[in-house]
Amino acid sequence: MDSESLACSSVEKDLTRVVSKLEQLHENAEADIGDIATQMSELVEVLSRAEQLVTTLNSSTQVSQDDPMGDAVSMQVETEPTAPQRLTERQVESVRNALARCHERVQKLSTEHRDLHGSISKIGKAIDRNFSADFSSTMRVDVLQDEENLMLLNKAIAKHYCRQGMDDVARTLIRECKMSPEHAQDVFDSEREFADIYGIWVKIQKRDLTDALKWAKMYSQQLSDRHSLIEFRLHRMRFMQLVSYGLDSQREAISYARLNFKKFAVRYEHEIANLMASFIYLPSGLENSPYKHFLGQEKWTELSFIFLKDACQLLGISKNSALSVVVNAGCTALPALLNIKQVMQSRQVLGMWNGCDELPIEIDLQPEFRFHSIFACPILRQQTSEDNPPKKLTCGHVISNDALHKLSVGHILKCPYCPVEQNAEEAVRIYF
Amino acid sequence: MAEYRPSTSWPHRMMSFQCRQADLNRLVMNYLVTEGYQEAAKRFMTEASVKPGPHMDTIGDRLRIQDAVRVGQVKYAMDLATRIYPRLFETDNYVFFHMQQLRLIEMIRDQKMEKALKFAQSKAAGFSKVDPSHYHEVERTMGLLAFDRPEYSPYGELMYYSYRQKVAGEMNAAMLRCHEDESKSKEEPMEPRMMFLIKLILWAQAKLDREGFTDYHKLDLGHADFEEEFRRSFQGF
Repeated sequence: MDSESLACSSVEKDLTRVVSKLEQLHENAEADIGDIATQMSELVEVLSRAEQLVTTLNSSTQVSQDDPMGDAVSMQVETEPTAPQRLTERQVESVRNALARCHERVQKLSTEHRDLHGSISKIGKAIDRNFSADFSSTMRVDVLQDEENLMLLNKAIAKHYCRQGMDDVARTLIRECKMSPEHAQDVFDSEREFADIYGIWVKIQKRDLTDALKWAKMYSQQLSDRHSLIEFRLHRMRFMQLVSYGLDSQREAISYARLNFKKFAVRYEHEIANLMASFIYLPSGLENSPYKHFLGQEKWTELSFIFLKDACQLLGISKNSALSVVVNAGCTALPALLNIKQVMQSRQVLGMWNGCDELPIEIDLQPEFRFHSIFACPILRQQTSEDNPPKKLTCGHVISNDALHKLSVGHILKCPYCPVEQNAEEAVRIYF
Repeated sequence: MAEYRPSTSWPHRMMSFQCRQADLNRLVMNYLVTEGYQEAAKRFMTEASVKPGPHMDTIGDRLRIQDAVRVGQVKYAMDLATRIYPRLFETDNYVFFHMQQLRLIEMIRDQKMEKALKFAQSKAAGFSKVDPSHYHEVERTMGLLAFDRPEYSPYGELMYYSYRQKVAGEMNAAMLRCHEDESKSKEEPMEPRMMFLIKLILWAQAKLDREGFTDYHKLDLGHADFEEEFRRSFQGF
């Protein structure tokens, strides 16, 4: 965790430096471009004025030609028009200087911009240095080359879509990966129950309790046996929803309370009294009362998660899909695995890694991701596995299968913990 | 010098105590007047030649108001009390609250749900402004509305006659206090002296028990024949 935050802060530091440089360049460029624009405007104005002067002189010449006066005047006019048609040397010099200054500034901006490329590319290098892009050492790619395993993965993904109510997507996936009809049927059958729960969960968040109340009524006895809060919580929320509709629906709210609260009277005596007192605040509005927290969305979101938890618990199904559990556990494990990558490589133990079912280090997952107890054989001091399962002896002690065989002499086994001698074949495999 | 012998001196002192009839009569009259037993007080006044004391003048009014509360005519009782004691409910918020609560309970008893809700929501009822330490009483009262047969609900005790009796007693005490404030007299306590005396007797008996003294005649309030028990206690062995 420390190395991760260190990596993030390191990249962030470089990024901050580059961003501040870009901001500085932006400010300077803005000022320079402003100046250049001003000079160009002035230049255009000067040239425009000169052009106007030339046009005026030409018009004057034409007018003179129509004059019936003598030749002397006409001769005098013919001499003048030639000179004003050309810019003066000073004007030409002024234009040339302005263009030179603009060119110089644009050149400078271009150079400064090019200099930043180096800094920007450093960000990429910092990311490469602090974050690993190569996960191959933590993966077993060969696993997915097995047809059966690939099918299992597709099946897990399809189940995940079913849970979200996206049956169409699941069907498309099943068709494209050519899943067999038996497996396809299993996908829909096993996730049907959760899809129903999920649908109700979504509706609760949208403040629709119809299906949830129906479900709770159906399983009322089981919920009561488990001391679940959810049935009362649903009725409470529906009641407050009716009260929040205002004075016009208070009769309906009273009827709802009389119909549904009776069975909860003893256990929720105080809660019911508190709910009923909400009517007192209706004229001035619940939003100005101690009950305003019932109007917010948080109350509905909280209720939906309580429902999800209690419903999955009662039906004996997992709250999260297998795919999401695996992905979350993997994300938790990845940093720890990357940290030991160097050690693995330097000690030439990559081959060992790929060959066994154990991880090389212990990884601390959150309690919600621990589904089974871990049993370590007290004789061999290693965790049991599919290949080496735990065995319970007739005396009740448990050791691993390999240890059982090592300690046996023919068919006779003496328990390492107690004096009981027994037939080694009578030991039974156990599951935690 | 005589040796102190507590185990024998206490019974002796009890038997030696001279209880005058006039004192007993005053105790009884005080109880009857304070608790509003008008007819009994009048007859006792005649038969025993005992003066009734300062609260006799208000006994009729207090009796009418308490009777109204006991039969559930709470609004009538409140109106009557306000006419006789204009500042009663200004100086005693708790009694005012309980009377309003009782009005609500009577509407619920009469199955008048709309009327009950309207009353509970009104500013005049004052439920939304109740002292937080009493809000749970408002909640329990409103809880009655959640049941078709509220007398069988967890809050059903509010529907019992004993609750009316309790509130009537509170009203009586409040009226006596109000009267006391007006007359500026400090002589008459709010509670009947007899009640105080009985509590004192019970306290003393408990203390004697703790000290290990058992050789005296106890006043047994649980005795079936209360009159005989009382007479025996006050007359000694």
